[in-house]
Formats: sequence, structure tokens, C-alpha cells
Amino acid sequence: MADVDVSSNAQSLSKKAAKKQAKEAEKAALKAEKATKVERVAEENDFAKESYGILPLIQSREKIDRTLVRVSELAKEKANKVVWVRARLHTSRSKGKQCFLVLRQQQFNVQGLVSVSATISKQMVKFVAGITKESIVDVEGVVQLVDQKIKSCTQQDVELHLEKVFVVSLASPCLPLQLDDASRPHQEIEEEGRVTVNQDTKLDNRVIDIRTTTNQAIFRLQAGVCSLFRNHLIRNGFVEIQTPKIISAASEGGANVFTVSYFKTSAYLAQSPQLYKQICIAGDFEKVFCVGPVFRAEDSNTHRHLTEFVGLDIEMVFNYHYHEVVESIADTLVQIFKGLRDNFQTEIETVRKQYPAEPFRFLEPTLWLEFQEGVAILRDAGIEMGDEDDLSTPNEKLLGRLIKEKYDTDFYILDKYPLAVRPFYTMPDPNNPRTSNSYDMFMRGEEILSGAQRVHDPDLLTERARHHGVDLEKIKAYIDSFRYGAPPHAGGGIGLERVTMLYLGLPNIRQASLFPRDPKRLTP
Amino acid sequence: MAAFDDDLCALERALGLDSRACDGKDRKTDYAGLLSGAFEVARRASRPDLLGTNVADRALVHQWLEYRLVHLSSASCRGGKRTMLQELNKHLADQVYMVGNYLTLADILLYFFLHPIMVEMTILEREELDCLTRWFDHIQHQPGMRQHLPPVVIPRNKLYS
Repeated sequence: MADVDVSSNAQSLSKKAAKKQAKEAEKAALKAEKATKVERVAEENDFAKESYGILPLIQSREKIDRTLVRVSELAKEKANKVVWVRARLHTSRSKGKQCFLVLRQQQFNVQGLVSVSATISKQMVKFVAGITKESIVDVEGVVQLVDQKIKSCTQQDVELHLEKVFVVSLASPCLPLQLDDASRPHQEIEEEGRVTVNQDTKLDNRVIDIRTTTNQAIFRLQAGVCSLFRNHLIRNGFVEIQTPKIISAASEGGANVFTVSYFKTSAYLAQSPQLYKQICIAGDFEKVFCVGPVFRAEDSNTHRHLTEFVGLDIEMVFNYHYHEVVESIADTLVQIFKGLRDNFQTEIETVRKQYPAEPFRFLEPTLWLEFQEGVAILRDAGIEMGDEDDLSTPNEKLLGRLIKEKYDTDFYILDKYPLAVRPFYTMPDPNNPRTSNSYDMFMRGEEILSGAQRVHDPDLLTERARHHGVDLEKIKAYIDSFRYGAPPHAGGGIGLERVTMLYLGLPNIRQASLFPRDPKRLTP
Repeated sequence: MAAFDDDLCALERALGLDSRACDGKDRKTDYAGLLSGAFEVARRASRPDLLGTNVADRALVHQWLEYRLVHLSSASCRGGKRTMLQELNKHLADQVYMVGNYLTLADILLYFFLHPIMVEMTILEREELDCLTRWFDHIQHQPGMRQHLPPVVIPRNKLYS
């Protein structure tokens, strides 16, 4: 009986289950059929299989003889030509049978188009639309003239009708920041409430941030500053020297110096090449300059301080008056400004799109005021300060504004600073014991160069050091270098990042440094 | 109510009255409140025009003196100060003086009240409140007005565009 029951139960169960199973089997069969059908269809209809895909890793397996054309050269002259281009996929937008994309190469970009045709399949358009942003692609296409200028691209007259699209290097789909957001001008962000990228995010993901057209322009201009500096000085008989950065004694004063462990003792990272420039002068090189890193351990978290920056330093002998040197330094800077104005106008315009600023103005001959004149201008504007007070940062900025208003220049020299506020190696003014033969140069109201005639007599130097309370033991080597006949000399140093930042009118110095270092940032 | 003695003494001096009564001691007068004291000083100096030449102007002078009283406390906090200054700036956009087109007590007492605030503003802040600064410069140059107070130097040209 039980058996019958069980079997009948089993039967009834299995009836239901069988029905269910049968239904599921039907469904699965249909699905499988569909899938194979689609695949077959896909395989059948994909006649463009050879024209797209992800290339295997380029490990230099073979040499391909193919000319890749630069995006910047895609213009009317190349109309109807078939070209190969390697660029980044900036954006893509697909609409049914077409896909529009923007290919970017450094500061240039061009529109590309893939549309279904006799040679291009639906699968290819789908593939192209699915390539992640920032991937590097090799494309072959025909350069076509367009009726209406493409305003959003740098190459406005042509469009690339793509025949082949291969991915050379696929980018990860989640980018830490979007390039369009990172290059959006501040005004657009405010007016339209669009997304912006935090400066810290940009600096943390520098590899992507430096791809923006603005950053490409900023750092090309910075390279220009460096080369203009070098070329001008070399043309005028200067010798480039290299100075050590690991030194035994702090050169400017013990407070702002980094200590490194040096075998069994410790050493310091150089705050400036001052000492070594002067030794070279006393060593008969007469006119020297050096370009190298400068390390200042100042715990200043401001818009214009870095702990490591590139210093462009000059030192030279003069015959009878230190003004010979000041003129030479001012001339160098003016040549840099002119060189930037004449050769880097595209870069300046590109930067101005994101960071609007007034063009940099300077006078020829350079505006040259004495410190007391500057103080008088400030006093006329209602600022109270003593005759021997140094200029505070807000006063410097205000003075810059007042001078811009009065003389229409963003660059000027302030000469004859009070002796009390300058370092011990500054030569005092023989005609007035309270002033010194020292000078500062300003761009847009911010100091970019501090310089002076140096004391080249060991006895006077000892006396000045004693007056400033400097430990004579620590600077014995420095004083000794003047004992064997040292010529009168003067010089000064500028910061590359600061000059770039102030020339372009950028709001923050970190934007003028590829990998900035400040008290809170040590990577990348 | 020695609270307003400074203002009232300054007012007396501005109007050319002898203010020997103000030497740290309480002023010898029955009228020690700001409005009543100010009116009394104006009467003593024979300057009834300072109160306003017609009924409407007199009411406005009252209104601004009240404003000065009310905002004494709000001016100590930063947000309140800004709003107050912006309000005054807006009012002075098309007026040379606070009330009508002649000097009144409203101008004088507001000048004394605003002086310490104007002195510590930066040039940028003063340029942002351009109408207020213009009025302030005009009042501080009136004869006898400034007395011992340091002048607030206003550059002729705009430095910040």
C-alpha cells in the first residue's frame, strides 16, 4: 500500500515537477536558440571584423612601416587623404548608426566619425562607442572638409571619417577625474553650477590632470622660461655651474632647513646656492648662473610657497657700482617676458581660457624705484609704516596695485632696502648707514627676486655676522673664501614656479609645479 | 548715560561749541540720550537746519539716528556689520547726504560711528562699498568735522577693477 502511495505521490509530484521542468526546458531551449541565432547573425554580418579591435600588447614584435600624422596637421591641405593617427579618445557619442568621437593629442583635438556603411558594420560602431575614455587608439580615416566650422575642436575645418579603429592601450573605465571638469573655467562653474575638480584631487591624480590642454600649455611655457633664461645668459658670457644640494651648514639661517642623515652624521639640503656661487666668483668665473632645486622647510601653507622649487640664480662681478648687475638682471627678466610674449602666445591664450588674467605689462626701461619712494607711495595711500620696516605681504600687494595704477606696469624694481631687514652678507650703503645695496624685484605685486651686493671683505663680513648674532664658527669656511682676493660682486635668484605663476596670473603656485611639494604633500 | 558722551562731545566740537564739559566727567546736561542730546547740542549751536528743514526730512533724520542706535550691537558681529554697510551703501547710491541734499545730524553722527570701522577696512573692501566711501570722504572733509580723528585716505583712482 505504502509503495503505491509513495509511487502515486511521487507520480503526482513528478507530474507537477514534470510540467515545471518541461516549461523551464522550453524556455532554456528558446533562449539557447536565440543566442546562437544572434551569434550566427553577428558572425554572419560582421564583415568589418578586420577593421577594429583591441591590438595585442605592443611589445615591439614587428616593425610596421606606417606614418602617423599629428592631429595638429589635420587641416584643409590634407582633404580627402587617407591618414593614420594615434591619439587619445577624448569623448564619444553614439546615435544609432553613427558614432561621433573627439580624438585628442596634447593641445590639439579633432572630430572623428564612424557610421554604418558598406565597409563599416553595426558591430564596429558599437565597439567604437564602447571604448573607454582616455584610451589610446590607432585610427585610419579619410580627412573630410566640413561645411560648418567645428567650434569645439582645435582643428575646426576638417573631420576624420574613420575606416579602421584599433585600441593600442585601453584605459580603465573609472577615471578618478574627468578632464573636461578639470579644465573648466571658474566662471562657467559659478554661472552654470557645473562640477569642478578639487585642487587636491587634481594633484593626487597628476598623471591625468597634466593631460588637460591648460596644463600642457602651462608647462610648455615654463620650459620656455627656463630656456630663455639660459640662452640669454649664455649669449652674454655667463657660465652655467652646478652646485651641491647636500651641504654641511645651513646657508641662510638654521630655521628653515631640511636635515638628512649622512652616513654617521647629518647634513642639510641647500636653501640656496649662495655660498657656491660666491666661491665660483672668487674662483674667477666672473659671471655664473645655476638652475637647480632649492629646499626651504618653511611650514607655510600659502598660495605661493613650496618646500621644494626650482631656483634660477645669477651671480656676477661688477666694475664700480652694483647697479651694473641690477641692470643685467632686469634685462634678463625683460628678455624672458619678451620671449614669452613673442613665442608662446598660443600657450598664453590657452591658459587664459581657464584662468582669465590681464596680459602681463612691463616698461622699457624697467621701472626702478628706491625703497623710500615706495614707502612714500604707501603712506600717501594711508598705510602707516616706519622708515626701516620691511614690507609686509599685504603692503607689497598694495604697493603693486598703486604702482600699476600710477605707472601701468606689473614689473618693477625696488632698490636700497633698509640694512636692518637684510641678511648679514649684504653690503651696507657707504653713503647712508641705515640702508644697504640691496634690491627686490616684483611681478604683479609679489616678490620674485631678492638680491644685493655681497660683502667681499672678510673683516667686514665678520663684523656684519657678529652684528646679526650669527655663529662665526659655522660660517668660518664661507668667510675664508674671501681671504684670497675676491672681486666686488652682486646677484640674485628667482623662483621658476613663481615667475610662471605670476606671468600667467595663476591663482596658486601648485598649478605651476608639475609635482608640487608643500608641508602637506609629498606624493606623487 | 555716559554711553554717548563721546559722540555728543565730538558733535559739540564739530559745531564749534565749547565742550569744556567733556573731560572724562559726566556732561553737565539733562539730555544724555543720543537723540535728545544731539538735538540739544544743535539747538545750542543755533543750527536747527541740522535736524531737517521740513517735516519729512526731520522724520528721516530721526530714522537714521535710530538706525545708528539699533545697529550699535549688530555692528560688533561680522555678519551684521557687512549687512549694515551694504545697506548704507545702497542708500547712498543716489544721495550726496544721508537726508535730502544738505548736511544733517544723521551725516555727522553716522560719520563718528562709522569712523573706526572705515579705518580698519582694507582698500579692497572700501572700493567694494564705493558709494559709502564717497560719502565718508565728503563728510570727513567738511570743516571742523574730522578734529583729532585720523583721516581715512581714499585714493582718487580705483585700484581693483
